Amino acid sequence: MVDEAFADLVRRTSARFYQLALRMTGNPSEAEDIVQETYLRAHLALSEGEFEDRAALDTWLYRVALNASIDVLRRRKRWAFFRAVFRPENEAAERTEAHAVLRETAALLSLLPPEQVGALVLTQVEGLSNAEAARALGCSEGAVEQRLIRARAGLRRRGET
Amino acid sequence: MNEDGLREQLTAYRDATGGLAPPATLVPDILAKVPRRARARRFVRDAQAAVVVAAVVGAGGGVWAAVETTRVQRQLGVQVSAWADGP
Repeated sequence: MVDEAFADLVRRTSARFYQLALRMTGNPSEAEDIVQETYLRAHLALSEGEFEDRAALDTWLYRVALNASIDVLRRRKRWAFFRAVFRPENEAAERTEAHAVLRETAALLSLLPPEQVGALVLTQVEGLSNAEAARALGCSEGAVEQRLIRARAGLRRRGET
Repeated sequence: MNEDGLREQLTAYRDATGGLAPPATLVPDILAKVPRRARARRFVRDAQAAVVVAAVVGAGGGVWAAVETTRVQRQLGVQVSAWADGP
């Protein structure tokens, strides 16, 4: 029964969570890992009967996918030095025009702290309102507005240097 | 980058990522792997909890231990008190 509900959940939501993770990280392989981790938590929650309400489960999972993406961005910052030294190539990055935009924007977003990336992607790319983004990020609406102001200022500063 | 440039870049990003679908293997992969990993993770977590509870029961740990013992016994189907002298 849990596995049926789980399969239904995955088929219904995987494309949406994949796109969220992709937009947050700009990296297809990291997005796949994030989606796997998100469903791992979903399976645990379903098998423990934590969610009777489908909408509540979807909202919770959206937050899980978002937080997993922010964790990946934080880990990236920690390993930035090594990546700069060893320069691993992104295998899919140059294949299509879409991947070129992906890489270019991901490079731009990587200049910002993960929380600011979250606010910017949710409101400007995912199309959430500030209030919805605040709920997803677990912060106040004012905090989202602050993060957006700082993100824009940060990108403007980088553009001037 | 100015405000217009940023808006343009993010719009292009939304369009580009909107067109990128998850790989066809992603859903079958999740359905095959995730339930196994979830069961393994749950087993490890419950086993760890059982060891902690057994240690507390052994040390005469009171109400918390009694509540946790009941929970873990139900989940694992074992008598935790039998582990008080060691699993």
